[in-house]
Amino acid sequence: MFGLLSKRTGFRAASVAVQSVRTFVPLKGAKPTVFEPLPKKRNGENAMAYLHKQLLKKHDPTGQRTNLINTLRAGDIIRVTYMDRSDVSGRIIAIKRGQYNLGGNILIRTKVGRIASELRIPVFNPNIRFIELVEKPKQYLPRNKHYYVRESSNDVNDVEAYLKNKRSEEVKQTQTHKTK
Amino acid sequence: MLSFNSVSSRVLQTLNSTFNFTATRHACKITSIHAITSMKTQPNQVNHSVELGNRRKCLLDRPGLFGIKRGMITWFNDNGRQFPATVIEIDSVEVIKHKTEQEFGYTSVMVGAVDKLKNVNNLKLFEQAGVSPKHKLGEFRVRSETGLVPVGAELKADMFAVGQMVDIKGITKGKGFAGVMKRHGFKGLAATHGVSKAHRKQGATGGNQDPGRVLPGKKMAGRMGGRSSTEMNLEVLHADGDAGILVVKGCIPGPNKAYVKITDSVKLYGKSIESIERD
Repeated sequence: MFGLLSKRTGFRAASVAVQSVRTFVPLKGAKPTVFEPLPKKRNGENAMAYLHKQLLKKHDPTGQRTNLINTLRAGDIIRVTYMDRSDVSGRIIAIKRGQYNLGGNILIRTKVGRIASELRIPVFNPNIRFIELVEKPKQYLPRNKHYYVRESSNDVNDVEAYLKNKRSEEVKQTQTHKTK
Repeated sequence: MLSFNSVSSRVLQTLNSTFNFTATRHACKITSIHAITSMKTQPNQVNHSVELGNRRKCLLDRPGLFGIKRGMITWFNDNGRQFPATVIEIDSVEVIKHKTEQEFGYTSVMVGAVDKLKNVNNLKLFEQAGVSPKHKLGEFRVRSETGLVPVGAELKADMFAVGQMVDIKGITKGKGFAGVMKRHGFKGLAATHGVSKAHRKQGATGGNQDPGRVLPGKKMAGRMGGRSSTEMNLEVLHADGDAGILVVKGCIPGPNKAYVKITDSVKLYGKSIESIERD
């Protein structure tokens, strides 16, 4: 019993003594040299953002289309003119805006005769000459996406015919104005 | 009883007397083995060997790249046609080591991608190459030693020409334990007509008492995705070497931020040594 105790205390004393001595363990060999990494590409900019900027410069140099897709709202009436001078007009039902993507598009709806027709317009497509905002409604319907107007009392009418009527009325008004 | 010998001798006697039968014996003539001129034959070639396998394997004449999938975008060509496209980032891809046939039994280029300075091991490998330690390491087998790009050279995205075809290998998104409808496209069971709690199940998996077991390879529910997959013949739409951006047409396996292996299209540009020699 006493022997064990003395052994223990002896061990403790020794361990304390070892800790108090500072030792230096030399490295086994020289450390390998580490070469510097290559300089960061694009100044460290996100690859998607960088490419998106480049593509916007190509497909939308004036920034007009980007402005359009950000400012237009569901309910507006727009007219899209293609490179071959043909055009379509319709009321916006929904706008899809992509992040770092030229895939942003506008869904327009109109009626040809009685048949409703919808068309998705890729805003940055080089086949499109220009997109113009024709009319803003006096009061917007609720929600960002107007899918619910389909086949309801708020449904779109024949936009082409509506615009034609409007134009002829305007012409009439100006004529009467002149005669007065 | 009469013995067999006596019977046969008697038969012979009668045969002789009737047909005048005589039997003659000839010496056996065998050519001496020393008279034949010896000829060395070629040892049999084992087709299922590394050497012959290397000659048969359809390989490319240059290594490819490691890239990081960054996401998908819409791509417009000059005619106004619209394609889905994938953006791949090529970040400091450098050649680390060569593997030659004498030493390893096959020829390949070891390539590393994305510099990594913390928690790296195998530092000697990178020191020998004279490049910074890399996060991703891998090999590209090439057909002959002419395809060994010098060690330490940087491989850029513009090594692929716009309009050429590439193969892209990646690991697909893991779907976990998926049912048979999702995993194998089974149609499931009926919605009504007495089907109870088994609308998305496979139905029967085998026969009756004969064969009395489910045959191996039966399509069942299980782990889906997370496996290696190669998308072949994707068109390169854009390759910017300095910015390290590669855009390919269509989609590629794996989630965003995952490593992918890009090589020239094997079906178009791959050739085996055997086929070259034949031509």
